[in-house]
Amino acid sequence: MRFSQECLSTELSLMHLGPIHPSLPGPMKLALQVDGERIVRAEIETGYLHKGLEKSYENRNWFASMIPTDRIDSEGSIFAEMALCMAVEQICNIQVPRRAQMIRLILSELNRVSCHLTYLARVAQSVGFETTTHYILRERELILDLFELMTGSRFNLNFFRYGGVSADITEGFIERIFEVCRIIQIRLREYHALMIDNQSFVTRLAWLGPISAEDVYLMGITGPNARASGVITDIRKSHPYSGYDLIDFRVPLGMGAAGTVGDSFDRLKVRLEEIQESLLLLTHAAESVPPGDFSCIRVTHDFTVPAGEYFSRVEGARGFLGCHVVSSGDFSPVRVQWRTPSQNQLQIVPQLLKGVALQDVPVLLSTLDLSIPEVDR
Amino acid sequence: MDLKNLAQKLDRELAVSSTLKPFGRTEQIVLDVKSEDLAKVAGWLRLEESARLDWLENLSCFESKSKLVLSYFLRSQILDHSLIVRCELSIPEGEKVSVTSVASVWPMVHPYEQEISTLFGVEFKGNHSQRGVKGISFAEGAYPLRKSYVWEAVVL
Repeated sequence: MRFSQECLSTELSLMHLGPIHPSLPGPMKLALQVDGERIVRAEIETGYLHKGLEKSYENRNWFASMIPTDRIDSEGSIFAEMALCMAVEQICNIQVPRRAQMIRLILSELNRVSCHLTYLARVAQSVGFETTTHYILRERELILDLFELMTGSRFNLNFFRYGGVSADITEGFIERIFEVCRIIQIRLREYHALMIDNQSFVTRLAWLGPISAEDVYLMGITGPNARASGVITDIRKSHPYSGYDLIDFRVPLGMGAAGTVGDSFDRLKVRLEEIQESLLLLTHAAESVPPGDFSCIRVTHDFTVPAGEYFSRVEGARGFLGCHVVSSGDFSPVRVQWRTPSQNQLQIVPQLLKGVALQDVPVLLSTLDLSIPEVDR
Repeated sequence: MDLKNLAQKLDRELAVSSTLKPFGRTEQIVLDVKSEDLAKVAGWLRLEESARLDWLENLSCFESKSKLVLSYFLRSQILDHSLIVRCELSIPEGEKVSVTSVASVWPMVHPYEQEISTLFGVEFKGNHSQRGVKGISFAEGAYPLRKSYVWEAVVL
């Protein structure tokens, strides 16, 4: 049988993924120009999750501003709450009590562990390791139960208030933190065996989508993705807040353990190590919560912020989260602008996808830990 | 970083007029420049020995007293200091305003300029970056984050 010239056409073909697709990190369109199985060009279109959050602040009073703040990133809502509270407290010159700072630190680190566990589960799912996914989500449930014990919610905690937190530590919470840290420490060894010591898993991730230190600078990438590329950047060290200056901890960096520095495997390994560091931070913080008040002021619906502005910086689970708050002394903010890590991280995706095989697209996207709600707001 | 000297040196070398103002109630200082001098000042701040501001943390925009205020939050990775550069733009009703892009100086500014362009109607001239990432778009002349944009929503 002879094949005609038309059947052997080698033109590039166009493939569209999204806006809703299981391999994508959220609602976004991915237009791929492919040559057989290899991607030649990629274009991204976002905006499908635009909720007008930043505009909605202008129609709310200061007390109600915590509601849209949680929705910046539902998985890591505590970081956005921290950023907004820090900015408003600086404008109002409010001194947060030490006890409240420690409670905030504990909840932040619990949220960091929860986000990183979700990341590991997502990467395992994209590779096809479904059993590992369920194991990791089982541990994440322990942390969500802790959130429920303390705040009443599993996600969108709405717990921080200007001047402190909304309630004191629940009875049994500190003991439960020690127990959860102990369990996750043991499980981390299991994840190590299932992922890091698993050659087929390592082969899937090594050399995939490396981000160089130069690209980290050009794109403004921060957080674990930047640290995986060997760039030392951590807001908790450079601009310490909420008690982070009192506790010593290590910032893990990517070393090219399997393929090259900054590849998908390094991004995963850095997050595993960060979970380890967060557990140590949590144990230390839980041991040293001082007595005192959980808040220094009572915030109500008629709370106002004097005229002024501030730009706060927080190290979220995905990177540098910034919040620029502008007040005119009115009942509503003039502007609340968010600098989210995923905004910058999304910029490198078209470049990383060039030359990648189609089957590696979900794996690569999952290792970047993008949050589309953060990008679109 | 001695900001007073920096501002004087800037005025001398580039013949631009700039003013130093406090950033809200903080100790941080804002360097206020005219929008037409922005690109020149950006390049100078990047290369000047006492400044070396090579990292743009954030670009923010807000409307105040019928003007759009652009705030560039800059940091030096080498000298570990920071500065905020600000310029004001007059707002023609329903029309775009334009300012020179600083993407050639700080490439990481691209997503912020793209977003401000869509939401505030600011055209950043000279930003030719083709990164293949497209964000949300609105109807022509609709700039949601301007105060003149009527957002018909009921907050319960």
